[in-house]
Amino acid sequence: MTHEEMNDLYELYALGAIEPEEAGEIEAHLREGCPECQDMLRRALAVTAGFPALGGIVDPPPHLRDRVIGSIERLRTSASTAWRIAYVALAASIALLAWSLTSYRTLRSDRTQLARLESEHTRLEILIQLLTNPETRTAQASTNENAPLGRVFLGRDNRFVFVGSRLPAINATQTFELWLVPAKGAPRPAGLFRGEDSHAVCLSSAPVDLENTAAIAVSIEPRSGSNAPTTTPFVIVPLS
Amino acid sequence: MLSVILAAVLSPDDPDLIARLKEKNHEAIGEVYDRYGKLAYSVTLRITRNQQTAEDLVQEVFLRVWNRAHKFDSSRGSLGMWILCIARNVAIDHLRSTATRIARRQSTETDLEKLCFHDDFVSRISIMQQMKAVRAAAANLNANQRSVLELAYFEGLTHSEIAERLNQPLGTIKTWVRTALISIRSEMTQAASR
Repeated sequence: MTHEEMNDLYELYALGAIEPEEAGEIEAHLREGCPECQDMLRRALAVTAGFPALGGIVDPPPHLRDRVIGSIERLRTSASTAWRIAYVALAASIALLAWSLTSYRTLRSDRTQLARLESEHTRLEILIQLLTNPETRTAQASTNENAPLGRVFLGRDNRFVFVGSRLPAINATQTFELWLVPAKGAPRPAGLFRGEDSHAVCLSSAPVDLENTAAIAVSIEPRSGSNAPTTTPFVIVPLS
Repeated sequence: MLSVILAAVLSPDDPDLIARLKEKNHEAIGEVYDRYGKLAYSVTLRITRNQQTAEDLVQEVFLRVWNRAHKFDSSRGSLGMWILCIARNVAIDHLRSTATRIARRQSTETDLEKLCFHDDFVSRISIMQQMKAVRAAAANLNANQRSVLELAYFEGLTHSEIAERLNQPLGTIKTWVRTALISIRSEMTQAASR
């Protein structure tokens, strides 16, 4: 279609009477931004803009107003309700999430606490069993007055319990450390404890090689413990 | 008849009304209906020729106005012309969807709304002139010319469909449409010069 041919069609295009194929060509041409055709289309639209005057004017039935306004009111209400539901759902989701997180943290805390209690319970059971077993042997450090006192209960299963009293004070950066002192060689770490009011009861965390242990000693060490004594042991309990 | 159209379309757009409409003010849509409901009903009834259908379509027209008010740009045309375009569009779409005629390009409402708001062609004074001119010109049109314009405008028929409807050669239909448009354009030119 030539440019001139299109100019003859704009009024028909504006009227809506043009064939789809021709309309497609015109629209493609308009999209190219041809100023002359843009102007032609404006003029054509100006002609057809007054066409409603060709028809008659009829009063709508009175109930139509209520129907139209009612439908919009329902739309407005449903939209508002939808938003309210969305807000409530969002708030509920947030609350549920917060509750879940709290519950998860509480559960995790509870589980940690339970594991700690179970461990403590097991430790006490072993401790009681060891202390009440008639086959348990005891060893004690020499008792000087006012000197720290150490006593060791040796079980048949090679576990031991250290009971200390008049222990020296330690600060927050320190701990007591048990040592297995062999007849020959370097002491081996056997566990950490802090005690309370200069007293302490410490169960060995696992069976140890008591057979090759000549003494059990306690020294003050940094809070994280040491692989070898860094201070002179203040209690030495000979096992023989 | 024309006075009703002019009164509706020429009523100055109340900026406050448009603002409230865009803000989804419930009372605003009632005022818009009071101002343009008769026009929308008349156009949809003229196109569908069915009262019940026209009522359904008027409801759809104002739902569209409500949902699309935020897109309305008063600097590009009047609210009345916008609503008229929507009314014509929904009614013609209804005809097309129910008549299951030959496949043809579906002119979307967006297309028609764009046509109605093309650049600066719509101004209230020009619409008044246009409607007066169309009415004056229509009085001078013969029955065939008036018929083809109405079939095209109110029923959205193409040349070919009008030819088929009126059982006339396509060339004849084109001639009737062309001469009718020339007559109206001539009347408009005279109106503009007065």
